Amino acid sequence: MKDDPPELSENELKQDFATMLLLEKLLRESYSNTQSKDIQALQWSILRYLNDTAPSRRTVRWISSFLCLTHAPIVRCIATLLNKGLVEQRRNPMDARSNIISLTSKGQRVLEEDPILRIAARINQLPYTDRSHFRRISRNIALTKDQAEGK
Amino acid sequence: MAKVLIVEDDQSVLELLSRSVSWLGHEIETATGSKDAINLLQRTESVDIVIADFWLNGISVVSFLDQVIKEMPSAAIIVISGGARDTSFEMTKALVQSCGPIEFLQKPFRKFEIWDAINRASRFQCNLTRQF
Repeated sequence: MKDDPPELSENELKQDFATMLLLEKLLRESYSNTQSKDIQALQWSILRYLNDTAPSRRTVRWISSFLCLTHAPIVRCIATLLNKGLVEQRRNPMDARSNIISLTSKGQRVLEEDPILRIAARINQLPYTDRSHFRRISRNIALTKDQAEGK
Repeated sequence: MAKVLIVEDDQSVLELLSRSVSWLGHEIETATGSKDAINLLQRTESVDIVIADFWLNGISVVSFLDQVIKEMPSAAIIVISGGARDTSFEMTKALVQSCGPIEFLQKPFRKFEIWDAINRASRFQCNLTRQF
């Protein structure tokens, strides 16, 4: 991939800004259009994590570490998810001080309405080359230049 | 028995992984950086499993993963990570899994967890048999 020249024109900057605005709107609208629109983004992250993680790692400590957050917001989110019947908890047999959190069958059904799935489905419909480019470009944007080049 | 390439720049983790994997009876090759690992892959007839740390000498292995998938499309891949200041595990896992069907394991892990990850990664590859 060729590097952009160091000085971008105002028009190019505006174009890039508009492109990112498109993506931001796409994501925001997908979260508000789902049948489960009263689930917040952090709650979705927790549901996804619980769906894809072994029981021994489904504790507040591991969830907090994975999402790079302190315990407090995670504990609040889990309390909300418990109230909604989307997760349940039981005492951790390996550590009586903590609980193992699991999805309920209702939580699993709600995950089928994950807002990210709709956008992933649109990406899936792109031609193969466009899909590969989109994935690679997304990764390049996510990593800083230093992280990609090790400076 | 499978041929496993372990790519890890932390010597103590490399030794732990090597012991854990060889306990299963697999043959092991090791590398401490992605360039050495790619050279090894190009010299070797086949590698069944690649286990790599996401950060090798401060550089992400995303480009390395693309090359592994290109050089050894049949290899099962597991990426492990101890985290980085600017990148959450959630982001790291998404970066890794956007490259391909790759298992992700957050550090610290126990032996049985790396064994489970090897088994799950191997299910994507039809030419491996379970050792347990």
